[in-house]
Amino acid sequence: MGKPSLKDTAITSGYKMLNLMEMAKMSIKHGPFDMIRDIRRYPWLLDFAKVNRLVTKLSIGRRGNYRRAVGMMLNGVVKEMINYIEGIFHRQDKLVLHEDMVPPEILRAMGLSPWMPELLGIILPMIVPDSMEEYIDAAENEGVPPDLCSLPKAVIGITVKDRLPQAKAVITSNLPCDGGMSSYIYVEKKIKAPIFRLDIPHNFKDERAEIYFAGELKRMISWLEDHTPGRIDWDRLKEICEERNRMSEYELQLWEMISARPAPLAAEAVYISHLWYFNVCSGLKSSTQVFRRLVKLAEDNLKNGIAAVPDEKYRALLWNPPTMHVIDLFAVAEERYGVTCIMDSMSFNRLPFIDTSSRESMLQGIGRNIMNGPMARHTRGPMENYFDDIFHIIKRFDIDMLWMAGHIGCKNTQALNNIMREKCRTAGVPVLIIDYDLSDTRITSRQGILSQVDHFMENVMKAKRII
Amino acid sequence: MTIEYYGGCDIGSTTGKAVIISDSGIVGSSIVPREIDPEKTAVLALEQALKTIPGISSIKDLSFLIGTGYGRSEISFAGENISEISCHAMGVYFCDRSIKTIVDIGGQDVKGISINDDGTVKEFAMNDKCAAGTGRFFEAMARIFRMDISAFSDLSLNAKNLIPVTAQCSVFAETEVISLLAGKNPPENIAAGVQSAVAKRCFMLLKRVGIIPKVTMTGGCAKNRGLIKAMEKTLNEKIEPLSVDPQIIGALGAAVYAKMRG
Amino acid sequence: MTATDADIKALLEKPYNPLIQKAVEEGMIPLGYACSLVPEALLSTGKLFPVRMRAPGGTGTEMADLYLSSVICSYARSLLEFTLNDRYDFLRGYIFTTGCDHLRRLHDNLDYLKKQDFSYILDIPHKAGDAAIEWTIEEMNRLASALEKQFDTDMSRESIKQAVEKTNALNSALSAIGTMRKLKNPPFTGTQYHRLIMAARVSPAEYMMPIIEKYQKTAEESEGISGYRARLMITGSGLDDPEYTGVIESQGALVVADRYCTGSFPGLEPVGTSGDIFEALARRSLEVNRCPRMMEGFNSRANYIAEIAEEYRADGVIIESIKFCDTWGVESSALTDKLRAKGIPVLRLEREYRQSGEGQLRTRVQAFIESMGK
Repeated sequence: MGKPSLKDTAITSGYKMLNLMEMAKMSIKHGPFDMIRDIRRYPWLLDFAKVNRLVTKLSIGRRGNYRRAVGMMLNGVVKEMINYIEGIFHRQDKLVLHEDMVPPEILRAMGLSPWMPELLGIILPMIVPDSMEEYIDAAENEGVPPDLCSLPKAVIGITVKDRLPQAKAVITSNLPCDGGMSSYIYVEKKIKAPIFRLDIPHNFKDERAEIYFAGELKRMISWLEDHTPGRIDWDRLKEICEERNRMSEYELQLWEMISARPAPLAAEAVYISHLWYFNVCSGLKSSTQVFRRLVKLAEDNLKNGIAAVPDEKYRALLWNPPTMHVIDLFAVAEERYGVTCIMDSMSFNRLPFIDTSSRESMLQGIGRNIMNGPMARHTRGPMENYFDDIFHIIKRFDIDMLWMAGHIGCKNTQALNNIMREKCRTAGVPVLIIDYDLSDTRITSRQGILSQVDHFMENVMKAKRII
Repeated sequence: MTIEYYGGCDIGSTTGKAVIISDSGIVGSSIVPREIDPEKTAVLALEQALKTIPGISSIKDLSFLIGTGYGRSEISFAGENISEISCHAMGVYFCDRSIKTIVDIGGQDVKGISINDDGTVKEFAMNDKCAAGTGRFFEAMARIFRMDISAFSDLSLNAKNLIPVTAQCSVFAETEVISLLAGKNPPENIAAGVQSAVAKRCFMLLKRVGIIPKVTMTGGCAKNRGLIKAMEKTLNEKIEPLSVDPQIIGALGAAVYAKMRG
Repeated sequence: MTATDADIKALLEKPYNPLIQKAVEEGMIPLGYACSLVPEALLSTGKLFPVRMRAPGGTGTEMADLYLSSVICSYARSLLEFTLNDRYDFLRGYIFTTGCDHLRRLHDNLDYLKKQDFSYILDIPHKAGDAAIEWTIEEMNRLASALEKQFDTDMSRESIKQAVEKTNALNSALSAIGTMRKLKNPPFTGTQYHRLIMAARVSPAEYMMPIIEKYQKTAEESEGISGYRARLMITGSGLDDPEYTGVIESQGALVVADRYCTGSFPGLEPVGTSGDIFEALARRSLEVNRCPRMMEGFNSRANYIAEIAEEYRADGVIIESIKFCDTWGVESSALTDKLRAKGIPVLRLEREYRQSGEGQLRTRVQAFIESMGK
């Protein structure tokens, strides 16, 4: 793929500079003394400050619009993360902790400042691979079983080490798995704030489930009004939902374009974009803006006949959350084998739009999005959801192989791995199951993960390494 | 006036240990390899311990005998059996009353024990499902390094750097160490990584029972100098040496209990 | 009480026990279930009878490990192995719940590998409250209709009420015997009582009642057990192997109370029959059952355990959880702190479904008893 051009280097340097400036602005706004105090209180801030390492990792080997898309998308993440962090600094009276499957749109429409405890466990290992290990150890020291998923373990560790901000209230749910659900016993104990738990049905495909869940959301809203200064502003919620719908439209356009072979954009530019902007900050104009730009970059590439991965040999579907601590897995795979990640289970969904015609329809739409969201329909729902999606995506996006990020702590998906192998064998889809842990590098190291890829590519796909 | 002798016998997974005490303290002790039959191991250990004591020749001459360790319930001639967890606590208490926390590393498990002011057990935690960090694990490691166990124990003391051994499971750790060795990394640095990984596991276990100084180590692996160094570094706490062989602490505790019962 | 005891033990040696065999020969219909959220009464109408699925004497779970993976709870794996080995062919169907991830995935794998004619999953909410009760009433109704359709059994409210009364009578009889454990010298060991309870969960109520009555009579006439070192309570994941209790008691303890879903608390409370029967069943699943898979109510669950321990004068509590059980795994560590804070000695054990490491279990229990100064 050759060396990056001067322009490529300049693009990345530019985004890195912007990221540094955002962080400097945050520090100045917060004041040096308060900043130092809060760095002591929340030492993970220092890990976040290394975010340009992530930009470097994800820029290696990428050229032109693909490289620009990654830099632009991450710059948006940095900006919004800082806004998020400022919620701890400046808006603690409105701060609500919410589990990752609780819709933040409603919290925003209530004028509350959301904080997702899982967020650190998702974003920080991408930047500093071993950043969650001290928290994982802390949770295990509390007597939490080591076999629990390392994401809730990290949440428990962050909680017991008192690195979680104090909040007015906590909202959690029974999603995405038993481990995640149970971990809030610790959050509840430590935060000593009132807690509300959303219940989401298992058989969610009928109207009964939608009405039940919309009812849960209504109860959540009135509970929040009783326990926090937040008040629901339905007009605001409508704006947020409409903005989210606009972002969904752009995403569908993007998906349409990446269905083409070779794809004009790929991997993190597609999946981190969804992971972040749809789950953390949907409904913000700035988020839609990122997707609008992604569409533009993809369009340009398509028009000019430029592939994201010049040597796109294999199109991969990534199943399960990405390998957080080796987040550049596909940057490496692109260079070594021309493996291009087209779609992933966390991004793909079939019901993107929220009907904003009434309060009821908005709540049902938000609820439907959650229930049909990746962690819900794949981990909580019946296995049909799982396999229907896999084969639908394979067809729709012209996929050649399935890469399963076999996170050892995800019991729900581990228990379907062999059925997956058999079904894919029948369908003629090669499967790579990567044995690893989501956020603990000590279970399988970076090298260990990459050598599983090498073994698969060389032996099963009979592929020659490009570099 | 005749002297009363009390015996404690600890039948572990790899060795048998016996301690005889009287009013004047420890008068005899032994460590023997384990026979298939735990009772036979007990007889051998006790007979050897008795050899050095004048005026007493047979197990029957003991005023009271208590068995402990995995084979404890098989010692038919013992007056009683007490778990090795209680015996380790009492043995350490007998040696040094200022010690409040023990990490006991035996052949097949690791235990963290906190001690009450009277030598009884306050809390304990056991890590037995996996062999990592046990005596058996160190033996396997020594084999990979082509050394005997005592040479392996000292190897890490010369390490200039530490190569982290990340795998938490003993089987994976072995694979990892083999490839590190094949990669021409200095063996002492890898050994330091092994010791540090084990120390970390022990640390976790101790955290469950609470680390109150002073802290000591018992069991066969307490003779592993590299591990002691790694433990001290991980715990940020001195590992208090004991006045008697750390391997016979369980048997000593049993003997102390025998004296109480006798 | 040895005679009955041996008979009862025989009922637990294999899934297809002599009483089930007899019932099947008489045309009755056995339905499997594996979670206490299942309303046993609905599975007891007409010719139906519920069988709690177990895997006694299992020797390995090789096939199940392949499909479910080795990070799934060994109870779920053992059930899959037994089913694949045709040990549950006598069942005419099974009813699962959304009780936990492990059992849900067991259900998925069973459907994929060996689908039963009647394979049902009940969607039980993860919290109580009016909306959840409404939802569950509908779930109970749907299950009743499905059973009626499949087995042509009378699912009228009257028929269901009769089934509830039958189940209540069985549970009340078991509960009356269990109360004797409050005595200073109970007439039976915890192991013996555990066997009785388990036998009742795997045998048709009609045949079990006379055995329970005989058991009660013998118990009332028996001399109490004395000379034990400590009275213990066991709580934790579903424990269907009385011999595990046996190992605990082998160290001189007497198990006087239990709180696990295959035990006596809170499983034996009668279901109300005065109001709407479906609502009563829904409330039993959501409110009476105290599984940590319910998101709310940790404090109430912990207090309940402490109250039972006090009522049955337990000197200490053993919390056992099956390895890989997420809900009990997390609950156990929080519960340990909570009970200790109340001054109750606690021993926390992790176990596999199939008993293993008996020596280590003995050591731990013995050390626990010793640490209580007993």
